[in-house]
Amino acid sequence: MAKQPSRREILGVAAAGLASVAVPTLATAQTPPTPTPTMETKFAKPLSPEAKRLLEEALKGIQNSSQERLKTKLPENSEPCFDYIVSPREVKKR
Amino acid sequence: MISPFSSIKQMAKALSNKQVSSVELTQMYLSRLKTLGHEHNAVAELTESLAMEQAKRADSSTGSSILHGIPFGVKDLLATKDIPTRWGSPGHADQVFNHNATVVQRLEDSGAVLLAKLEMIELAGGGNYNVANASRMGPCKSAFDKTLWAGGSSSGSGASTSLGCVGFSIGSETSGSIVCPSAFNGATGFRPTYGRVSRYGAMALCWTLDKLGPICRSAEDCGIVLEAISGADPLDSTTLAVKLNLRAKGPKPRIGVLKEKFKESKADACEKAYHNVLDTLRKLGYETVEVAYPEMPYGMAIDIIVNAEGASAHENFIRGERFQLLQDINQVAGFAAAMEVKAVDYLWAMRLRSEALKANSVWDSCDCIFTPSFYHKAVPIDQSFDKTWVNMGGDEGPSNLLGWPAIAFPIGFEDGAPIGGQVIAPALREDVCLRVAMDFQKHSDFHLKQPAEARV
Repeated sequence: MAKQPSRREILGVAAAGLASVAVPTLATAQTPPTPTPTMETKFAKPLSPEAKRLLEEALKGIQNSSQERLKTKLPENSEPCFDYIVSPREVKKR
Repeated sequence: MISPFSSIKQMAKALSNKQVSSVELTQMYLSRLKTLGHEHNAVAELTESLAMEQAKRADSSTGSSILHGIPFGVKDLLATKDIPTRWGSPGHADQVFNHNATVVQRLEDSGAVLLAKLEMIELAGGGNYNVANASRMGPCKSAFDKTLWAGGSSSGSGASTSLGCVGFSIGSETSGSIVCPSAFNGATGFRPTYGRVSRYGAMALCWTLDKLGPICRSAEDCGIVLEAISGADPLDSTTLAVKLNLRAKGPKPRIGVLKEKFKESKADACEKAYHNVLDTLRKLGYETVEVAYPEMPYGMAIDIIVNAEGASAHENFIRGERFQLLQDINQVAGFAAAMEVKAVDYLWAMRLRSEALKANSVWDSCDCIFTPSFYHKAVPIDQSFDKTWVNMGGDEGPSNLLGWPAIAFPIGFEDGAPIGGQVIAPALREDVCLRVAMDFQKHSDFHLKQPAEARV
């Protein structure tokens, strides 16, 4: 009978799995964004060279936001406004 | 004959006294839409036969609404039964819905007369458009100067209203699309609280930010139209049950003023106009106080939310055969890139939105905020915005992110073209916006100025 892996071993495998995902992701994050061949398949028709150039710029913008937003730390455990419903605000007596 | 620049009350009175018929009003506006409207690229589709039918019906009946028999136009993002609804996009040129948007239906039920679908920036500009020409009909030209842009994305609504081509119009705003065309055309536009007006039948750009509201020639008209179109709608789960009450009572609201950047923006005309508004309001008994929003990246959060929700809302189109028919190639690139927004980024933005609720603390010291819509007149139609949108300024606060209402109105002119200001209020306090804007308009005439070429 094969030995059951311990919890520690499972966590080790999981960590290695995470690392294998994280490494290429980090590498990608450090290289300029380019419209990948995979991206091209998202569109019914190939993008024109000018559209590709502008797409690169737009992707840079999205990546910049991704980095910039990290400067604003949000409180632990805060929740997103999925169903944003405004509520009345009583003005305090002055 | 009645002036095409008449207020809703003036038209309603003339209709009631039989000084004019709805058919006559409709013919007058249709004629102006066919000339001035087309010259300014403000018209997406005339609804002439429907309009004449509705006008005849209005003339042969009596209605309880003040809008009975009054002709209007709607941004081409609102569904109209069996009439093309193209969302300003060449890729949606043959799109026809078999139902009316709730707003269109409510106006029809009021007896108002639909004259036209009004042109807009394609897909409400969700792909980050960079030229005025990002529209199926070409660049929409400002009512006051054809070399200037009419603003977006409710371009045709702003231009046609100020040109006296419609009695009033409906626009929409995700982030600036009512305020901007109001400023660039000298119109008065009312962006209501998020959820105040049903979005059923409206093109979605961003489910959690989209708002519909009136663009008119005065604050008073905006209030009348908003009352007709607001209210809970079972077809839009985000609509609010809280009833709209525009009749504010009590002491005059205290007006908050932000630290503005007139000098850095070289905005002399705007600075003068801004202080004139505040001086006028102070003379009327309004108190002003300096206020500041908590510093947060409100704009970045809006960008991420619009990108993510816009890409999802239009994913079928983006992946489809017609995607590259979009008029502005920047929109192609923008929508394509938006498909790559990460879930963690979107969720950060939605969590920031929860944090941004702290900005409600600004209402501890004031009841509304007055700020310029932009620091300058409209930008030229023939240059890309990345070159001309320098020092335009504008509200960088949380008002759109938090769904606060704002009323935008003309406050002066720069080289003959209008410049605008806006009154922003807490959620659900449209009454405060309206009270301040109406008081200012009772004691000024900027909203009554007519474009030279449109005068009768």
